[in-house]
Amino acid sequence: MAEKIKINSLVPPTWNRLKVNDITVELPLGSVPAVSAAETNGKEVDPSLWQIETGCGKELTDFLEKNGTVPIFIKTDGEKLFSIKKKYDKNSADILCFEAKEGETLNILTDMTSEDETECTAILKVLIKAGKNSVVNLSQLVRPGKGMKVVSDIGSVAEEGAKINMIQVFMDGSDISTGSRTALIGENSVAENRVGLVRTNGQTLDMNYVMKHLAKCTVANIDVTGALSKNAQKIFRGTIDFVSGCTGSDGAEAENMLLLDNTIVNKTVPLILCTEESVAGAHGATIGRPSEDIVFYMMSRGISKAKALQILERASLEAAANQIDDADARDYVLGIIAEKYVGD
Amino acid sequence: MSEEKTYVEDINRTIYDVIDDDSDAFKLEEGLSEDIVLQISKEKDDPDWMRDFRLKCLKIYNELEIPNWGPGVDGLDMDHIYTYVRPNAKMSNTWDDVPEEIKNTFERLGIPQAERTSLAGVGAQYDSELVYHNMQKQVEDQGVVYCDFESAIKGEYSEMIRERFMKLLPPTDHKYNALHGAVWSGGSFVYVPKGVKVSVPLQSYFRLNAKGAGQFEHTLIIVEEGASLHFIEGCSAPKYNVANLHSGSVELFVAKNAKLRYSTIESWSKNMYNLNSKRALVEEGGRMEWVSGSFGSHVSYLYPSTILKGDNSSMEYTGIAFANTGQNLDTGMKVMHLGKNTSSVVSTKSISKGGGINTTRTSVQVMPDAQGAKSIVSCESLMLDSLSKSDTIPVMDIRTDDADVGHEATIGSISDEAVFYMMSRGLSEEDARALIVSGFADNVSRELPMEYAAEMNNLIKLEMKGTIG
Repeated sequence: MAEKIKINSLVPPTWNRLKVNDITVELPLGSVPAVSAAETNGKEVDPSLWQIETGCGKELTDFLEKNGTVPIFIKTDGEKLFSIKKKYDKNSADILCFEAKEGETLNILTDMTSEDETECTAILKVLIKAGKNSVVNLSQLVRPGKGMKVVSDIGSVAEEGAKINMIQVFMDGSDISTGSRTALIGENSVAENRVGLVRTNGQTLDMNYVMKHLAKCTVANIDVTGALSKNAQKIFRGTIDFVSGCTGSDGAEAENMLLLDNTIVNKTVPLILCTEESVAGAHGATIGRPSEDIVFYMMSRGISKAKALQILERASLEAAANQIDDADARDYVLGIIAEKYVGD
Repeated sequence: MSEEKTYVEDINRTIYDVIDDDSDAFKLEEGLSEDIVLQISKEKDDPDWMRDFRLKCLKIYNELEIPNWGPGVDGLDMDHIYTYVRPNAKMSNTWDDVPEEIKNTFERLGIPQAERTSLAGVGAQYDSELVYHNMQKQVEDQGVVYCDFESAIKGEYSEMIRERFMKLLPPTDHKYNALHGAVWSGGSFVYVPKGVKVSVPLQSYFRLNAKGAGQFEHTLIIVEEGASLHFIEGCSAPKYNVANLHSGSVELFVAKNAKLRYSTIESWSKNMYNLNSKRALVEEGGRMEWVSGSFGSHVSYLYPSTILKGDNSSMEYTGIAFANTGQNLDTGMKVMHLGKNTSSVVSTKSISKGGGINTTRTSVQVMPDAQGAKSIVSCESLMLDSLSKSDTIPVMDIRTDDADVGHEATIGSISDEAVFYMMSRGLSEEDARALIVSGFADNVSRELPMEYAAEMNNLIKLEMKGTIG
C-alpha cells in the first residue's frame, strides 16, 4: 500500500501555475528500517524527544509515524567518522538521531545506493541537535540505482556557537527528493549547506532548504552547484528566514547551474524572508551553458567536447565533496565520484 | 521649470485625501450579480458580444477561488462594493466643461498643469467614468488615437479591439481578472500607427472618490511596427474607513521594432485593495519598459508581466514599493522568454517601515525555443525597523541550455555609519535617513519624467515622516 503526500512545501507559497510550491510523492507503507539499532550501537528513542522540524515537512513526519518507523539515537565515538553505507534492496524508512554535546565534534557520513535492477523506495530522515560550541559535519552521498526512489530529509537545531556543516552529493541514477531545515536558535551559531548534483536521463531532483535565523549573529549559507542534461529536471528551493530578534545575522544562498543541453528544466526559488532590520541577506544565481571559452580551451588541448562537458559535470560534484571536513569521508566520496567518471 | 517643480513639491497627503461630495453621482447597488452586470452593460451601451463576454466572466468569477498564495483579502467583501459609480459629469475635452469640484480635485493633483507643460494627451477618470480626455492636435495629426475605451469599442477600431480585448489577460487567469471582465468601466485606448514616434508622454489618471466603490478601468495600447510611446498612469483615492477596490486591466501590444514605456505612480489610499493586472506582448525586435512606483493601498497584488514572443525582443522593469503601517504590498513582475535572443533586465526595490509588509515576487521563464535568452534580476530590500517585514520570492524556470540567467537579491538596513557621516555634515537624523532612502529609490526616479520623479520623491519624504523617535 502506498500513500501520496506533499513534501518540500514552500513557505510562503507563490504562483501555483509555476508548480514549485511543493511536490507530491508516493511512498510505500510497510517500509522497514535499513539501519538497525544493533549495528549502530544505537537505541530506539521516544519520537516526542526528537520533534525537530525538517525540510520535507510535517506530512513526511506523519507518514513515518503511520509507517511505524521508530527513531534511533546513535552515539558516535567522538570525532571518529561514523559511517552508514547502505545498498538498498527493499522499501526502507529510517529516522536517525545524533546529538553533539557542548564542545563535541561529530563526523557523520551516509551513503545511499542500490543496484540498477532493484525497485525500491528509501526514506532517510536525519535529526541533529548541536549543543553549545559543538560541530556537526554531516556528509551525504546519494547515488541511487535506476529503480530506486530516494527521500532524504534533515532537521537540525544549533545552539549557541554551534556549527552544522552539511554536504550532500547527488549523483545520477534516479529521482531524489530532499529537504533540510536548520533552526539557528543559539547566538553565533552557523549552518552551511553545500550541494553538488548531477541529473541526467530524465531524472528529477526536488530540493527544499530552510535556514531559520532565530538568534543574534547567526550565519547561514546555502551553496548549490550542479549540472543538468538529457531531460533532467531540478527544483531548488532555498529559504533564508530572518526572524525578529536575530540582529546582526547574515544569510546567503548561491547557485551555479550548468545546463548541458536544450532538454532540461531548471527551476530555482531562492527566498529571503525578513522581519528583522539589522541583518544582511543575499542571493546570487548563475544559470546557463558552460562558457564557450572554457570548452574551446579544453578542446584545443585535445579533449573532445563530450569529455569536456563530462569533466565540468564531475567538477560540480567535486566542488561540494572537496568541502567535506573529515578526510576519511572526503576521500570516500571523492573516490566514489572518481569511480563513476573512471577514465577521465 | 521652477513653476513645474513648485506644484509638484507642494503635494502632500492631504491632496489625495480630499473627499468630494458624491451625492449627485449615480450608483448601482452594492454587490455583484448578473443583474448588476447587465445594468453596467446597459449603461455602457455595450455591443452584444461585450454583454455576453461580461456574463461569461461573471460565471468564471463565481467558479474561481481567491488566490491562496498572496496577502489576505478578508477585508474585501464584494457584497459591499459599488461596482459602478457614474459622476454627474459628461466626458469633455476641455477642463472648463468639467464640473467645478471634480476639476478642482484634478487641479490639486496637478493634472491640467502637467498636461500644459509636459504631456501630449491626458485622460482623467473619476470613479467609473472618464470626465476628461484630450490630446494635442499635432499628435492626433500623426494618426495617433487616444480615446476613452467605450468610444473605441464602438468606433473605427472596434474590430481591432475585439480581437485583443482580454486576450492577453483572459478572465480565467485569476478571479480578479474575471471580476474585471464582468464589470469593467472606463479606461483608455491608444493606437500608435506604424513608424510614429510620440515624443511626449500620454497620461491617464484614475481617481476613485466614492466610498466603498470599485474602479475597473481597461487600458489597451497598440504600438505598431517601428513606433514608440511613453504612457503614464497615475492613481489616487481619499481614505475611507471601508474597503475600496481597484481591479484594472492593462493590455499592451508592442509590434515589431516598436517601443513602449509604461510608467505608473500609484498612491492609492490605505483602505484600497489594489488587485491590478498588466501584461505586454512584444514582437520581434520590440522593447517594453516598465517603471513602477507603488506607494499606496492597503493590499496590493501587482506584477506587470511581459511575453517576449518575437526574436530579439527585450524588456526592462524598474520598480519600487514603499510599505508603511497597515500596508501589505505584494508586488513584482513576470517575464516569459519565448523568442530567440530575447533579454530582460529587472531591478526591484522595496522599503518597509512602521510594520509595513513588502513581498517582492518575480518570475523569469525561459522556454525551450528561447535560445540566446539573457536575463538579469536584481531585488533589493531596505528594512527601516524591526516591526516591518520584507520577503523576496523569486522563481526562475529555465528550459534551455542556451540561456544566461542571473539573479541577485539583498536585504539590509540603513547603515549607521552613513547616517552618522551625514549628521556630522549638519543634516538631522531624519533628513539623513530620508536622503539615503531617496538615493535607494534613485534608479526609479531617474526613469521618470522630472515632474513625476519629484512627486515620487515627495511621496517618499511623506512616508518617511515620523521615522525618527
